[in-house]
Amino acid sequence: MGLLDRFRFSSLGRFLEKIFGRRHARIGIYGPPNVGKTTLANRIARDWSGEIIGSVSDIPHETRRARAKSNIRIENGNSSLTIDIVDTPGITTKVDFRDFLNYGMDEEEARRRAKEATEGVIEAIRWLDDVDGVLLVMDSTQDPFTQVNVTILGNLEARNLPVIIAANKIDLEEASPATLKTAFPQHPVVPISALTGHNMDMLYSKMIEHFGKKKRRRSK
Amino acid sequence: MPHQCLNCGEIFDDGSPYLLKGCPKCGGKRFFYIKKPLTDEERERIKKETEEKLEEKIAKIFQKNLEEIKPDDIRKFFMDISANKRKEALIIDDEEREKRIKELLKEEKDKPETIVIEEPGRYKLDIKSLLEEEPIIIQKDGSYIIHLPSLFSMVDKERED
Repeated sequence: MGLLDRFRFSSLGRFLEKIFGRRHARIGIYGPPNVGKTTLANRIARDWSGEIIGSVSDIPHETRRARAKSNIRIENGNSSLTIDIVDTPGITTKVDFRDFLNYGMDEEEARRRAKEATEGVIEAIRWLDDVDGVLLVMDSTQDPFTQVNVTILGNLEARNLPVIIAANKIDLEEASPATLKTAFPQHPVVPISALTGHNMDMLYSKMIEHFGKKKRRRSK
Repeated sequence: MPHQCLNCGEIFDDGSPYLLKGCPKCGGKRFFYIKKPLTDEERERIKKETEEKLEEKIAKIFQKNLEEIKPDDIRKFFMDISANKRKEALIIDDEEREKRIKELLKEEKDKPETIVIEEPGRYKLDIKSLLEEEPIIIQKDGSYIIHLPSLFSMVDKERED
């Protein structure tokens, strides 16, 4: 363990963190399937460390295990924040292997994918216990009022976890990030395109501001 | 036959030298890249459109002579376009928001299961209970499987509180 790490875990380190705000945070990337969570995780990792986290595809539930990348330092002017990024499987209320059959998968493979996707949902939820903040990714071309979005947000509020909504896919013609903003006015909403990198600077500065805040008391 | 003379309808191969020199039949210098030959009406329509002078077209859009158009007019023109686009965005007010969230969160009948296996490869998940860390109970054809570690971790957590 390096000297700095040791300091971070020492009681003095924790005391300073409480007073001056945190400098290191573990951020979970959450959202329904196919909204661009892994594309966003890759974008963040590539922008600041030059590496990627996972493979992306048009087929829903491409990410079926949570994947993490540690110690990514993001900067904005004078302020910075070191984060661990956890890319999680998409959260959904229904998994049906038949949805995958159109993608040239045989039935056995589709059923296996469905099973893994279901396990992935539970794994994603488990990770919530171990993150300090959440980037909730939504598809700004879709109706934001879905059971998944509303339920996750309600739960994050109950857990008192800071959340930023990333209104993704604004590179698409049909995107309407304004709708998303008015749908969830109690949370910061940042319109981005993880694919093209549009407006990522705004997201980074919001992340530093929002996730770097003084340590909250966990009320449960 | 990828190119067609807009004036007379003559068709030329890709890379034909006449594309540079002009149509040998009518001297036309406008060619269209095509997959299928355009119908005569279609060709006439495009021809007419290309014959319209650019200056006149702009004057028509701004309803001003070209010399009278100021940067402000152009700005206003594009603002209008984007304003029209913005109007399409659905803006949700407090009342609407409350109504829709309420509808989504309508409690389902109190069922113990958090996961239903409808058939291998088809699953229904109770996200709310799972997020609230209720024990994992799997239902399949009316039989229930209780995942004990998740049940005990809930009991432990409740004792802590």
